[in-house]
Amino acid sequence: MNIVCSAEGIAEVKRPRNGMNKFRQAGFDEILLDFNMLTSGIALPQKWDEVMGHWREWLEHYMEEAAYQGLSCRIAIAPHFEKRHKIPNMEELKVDLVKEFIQYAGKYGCKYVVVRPFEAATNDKSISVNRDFYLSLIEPARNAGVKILVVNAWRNYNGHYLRGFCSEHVQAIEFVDGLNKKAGEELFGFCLDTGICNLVGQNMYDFVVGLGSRLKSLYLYENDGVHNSKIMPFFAVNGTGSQLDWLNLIRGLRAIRFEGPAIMTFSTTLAAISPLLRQSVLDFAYKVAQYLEWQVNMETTLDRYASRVLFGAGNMCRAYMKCYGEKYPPLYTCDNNSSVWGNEFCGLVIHNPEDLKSLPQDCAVFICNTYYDEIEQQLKDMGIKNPIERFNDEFMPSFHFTRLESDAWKGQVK
Amino acid sequence: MAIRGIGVQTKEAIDDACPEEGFRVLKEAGFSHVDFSLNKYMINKDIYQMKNSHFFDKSIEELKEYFRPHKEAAAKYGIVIGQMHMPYPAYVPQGKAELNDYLWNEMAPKSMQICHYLECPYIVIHGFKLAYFLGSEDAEWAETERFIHYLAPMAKDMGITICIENLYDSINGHLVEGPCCNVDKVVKRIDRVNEQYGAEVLGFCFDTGHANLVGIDFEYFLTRLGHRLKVLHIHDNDGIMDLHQIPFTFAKTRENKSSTDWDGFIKGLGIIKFDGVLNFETAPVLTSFPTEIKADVLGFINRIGKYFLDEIDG
Repeated sequence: MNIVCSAEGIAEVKRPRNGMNKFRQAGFDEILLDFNMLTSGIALPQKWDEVMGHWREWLEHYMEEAAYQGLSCRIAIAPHFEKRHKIPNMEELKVDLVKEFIQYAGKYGCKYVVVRPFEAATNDKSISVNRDFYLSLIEPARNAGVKILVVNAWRNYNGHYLRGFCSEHVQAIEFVDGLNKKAGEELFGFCLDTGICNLVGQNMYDFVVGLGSRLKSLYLYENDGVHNSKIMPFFAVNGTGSQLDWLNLIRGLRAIRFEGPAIMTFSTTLAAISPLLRQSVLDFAYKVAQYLEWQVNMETTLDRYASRVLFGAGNMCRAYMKCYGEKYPPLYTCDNNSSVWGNEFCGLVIHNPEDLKSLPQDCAVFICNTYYDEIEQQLKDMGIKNPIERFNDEFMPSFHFTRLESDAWKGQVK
Repeated sequence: MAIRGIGVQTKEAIDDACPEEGFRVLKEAGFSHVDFSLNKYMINKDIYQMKNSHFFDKSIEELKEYFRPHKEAAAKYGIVIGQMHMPYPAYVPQGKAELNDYLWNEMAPKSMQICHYLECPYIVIHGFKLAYFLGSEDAEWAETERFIHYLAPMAKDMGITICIENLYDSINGHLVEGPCCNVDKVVKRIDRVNEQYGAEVLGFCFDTGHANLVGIDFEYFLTRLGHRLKVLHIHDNDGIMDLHQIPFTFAKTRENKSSTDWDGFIKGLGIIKFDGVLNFETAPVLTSFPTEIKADVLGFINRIGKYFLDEIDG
C-alpha cells in the first residue's frame, strides 16, 4: 500500500504553490487530483458562474504547479454532489462533469478515477440508477485509459446512517463484476471508503478479503462512528483508543497483499487547527502514512527476503512465530541477554547477536523488539551489512489469548 | 400464514416470588407469548467478571421444580413460552477454565432441558466473540459451531431449534458488527448445519436493536434470511448504545421522524411471510418507567406489536 494524502485544506486551488511546497516539505511526493476542490461553494448562485467558467483553467494551473514541484498523480476523485447541496440540475451536471473530468484525469496520467454513486431512497433503486450511470462511463474511461473505481455509500435514514449502495461486499462484488462483464474488460474496480464502513460498524476484514483484487484503492480517515467527519487516523479517540477498527482493516489489507494507493484525508482535523500549525500537522500526517504503510506491507516485507533471522526473544518473537513462523521460518533468533543463548524459544534457538556477523548476504534481520532505534544502531555498530527490518505485533492476523508478562516468558525458554 | 402472536421478555415482568401475578399483568397487557429470560439467572456482566451465580448447580429435577410455578402460571393465563434466552456468554476468552467448563457442561445442557420442560420451541444463544484472537469471523464461527454441534443432538431429541443472533462488538466504545451480522454467511451456515442433522436444529434470531447499531439494512437482511428467521428481539436505540427501548422512540433530525428503519422491518417480514411471534426485548423500559405505570407501558408495547402485526399481515 502507498498512501496518497489529500491536499484539501492545504493547497489552495487558485494559488497552490505555497500549499504544495508544504506538502512536499512534509515528505509527500504524490498529489491527489480532487475535482471537488474546484467546486467549493458552487451551490451559491454568485459562485456558480465563477466555478463553471473557470474550473478548467484552475485545474490546469493546479496540475502545472504539481508537475513543477515534481509531485506525481496516480489517482483522481471525480465530481460529486450530495442532494443536500441543492445544486440545480445536479444529476445531469454531475454526469457531464464526470465524463469531462475523466478525460483530464487521463491527460494527467492518472490510473484511477474514483466516482461516487448517486444517492437513492432504497438500496435496490441505488443499484439500478448507478448501474446505468457507471455503464455510461465505459467509453470515456476507455478513451482516457483510466480505471473507474466504484465506492460504497451510506443511506441516510432520517439522520441515521445505514448501509447503502454496495455496502455489503457481496453487492459490491456483483456490481463491479457486472460492469466489467458489460465493458468486456477490467475497466472497473472498487475504492473502499473506510470512514463509511466505520459509520455503519462494518467488519472491514470481510469486506476487504471479499473484494480481493477488485480493491484498487481506499479512503483512509476516521470518525467516531456517529458523525460523518474526516479525522486523521488514530485521532477519533474514545477512552484509550481509536474508534475505528484498524485491526480488522489492516488484517484484511495484509491478507490480500494490497498494493494500491490509499487516499488519506483529514479535512475535519485540519479545519479544527490553526493555519499556523498546519505544517506540523502535515509533518505528522506523513509519519502516520509511513506507519500505516509499514503495518499493511508487513507480510510483503517478510516475503521480500530469501531468509531471515529475528532479533528479540519475547512476546513479539512469540507473535511472529504464531502467525508467520511456518510461512516465513527464521533461521534463529538472537537476544542481548547472554543467559538465554543456546536455549530454545518458540521453536527457535536463541543466538548471541555476534552470530549475525556470519549471516548469508541475502538474509534480513527482523527486529522483534520496540527498541528499534537502539538495536538498529547496535547492529550497525557491529558492522552488520544485511538488510535490517522492523517487525511489529500491534496488528497481527491472530493473537495469543495471553501475553507473557514481564520476564515470565523466560519460563517458556527450554 | 399469519403472525402467531405478540411477546415480551419475562425479565423485569415476572417475579420468581409470584410468577402468577406477572403472567396476569402480561395477559392483561395483551401478550400471547413470552420470551423466557433464563439469562437473568446468570447475568452476562457477572460472567465477564468471572462471577458464577451457581444457579445451575441444582439438579435438573430441582430446576424443574424451581420453574414449575412459571409453567403453571403461563398455562393458567394462556400464555405460550415462545422462546428462551440462554445465559451468555457461553465462553469467556481469557476466562478461568473452571468457569468456562461450568458454562459448557452445566449451564448449557441444563438450559436445554429447562427449555424442553417449559415446552419452549426456540432457545437463543450468543455466538462466541473471538475474532480478535482468532483473526477472523470465520475462525470465530468455527468455535461457535463447535458449541452448536454439542447442543444440536439435544436440540434434535427435544424438538428445539437453537437460534443464533446478530451481535455487536465494541471498538473503544464504538459498537461495531460482531458475530452473525453477515446474512449471506448466516444462511449458508444454518442450511449446512440443518442438513447435517436432518432437522431444523438451527435458526436465526433477528435483533433489531443490534442491527440498527451497525446500520444493517433490515429489509435486505430479512429478505435474504427468509424462512431461517425463527424469532425476534424487537427493540430500539439511538444508533449508538444498545438501549433496548420501545420502537419509534428515537429521532435524529428536526423533522422528528424515527431514525430506525421500521418501514424496512415491516416490509422485510412481509416479504418473507414471517409467521412467528413479534417479540419485544425491552426489559430496560420496565425499569426506566415508574412502577405505577408499568402495566400501561406493557400495554403500549403490546399496542406497537399490534401495529406491526397489522402492517405485516395487512
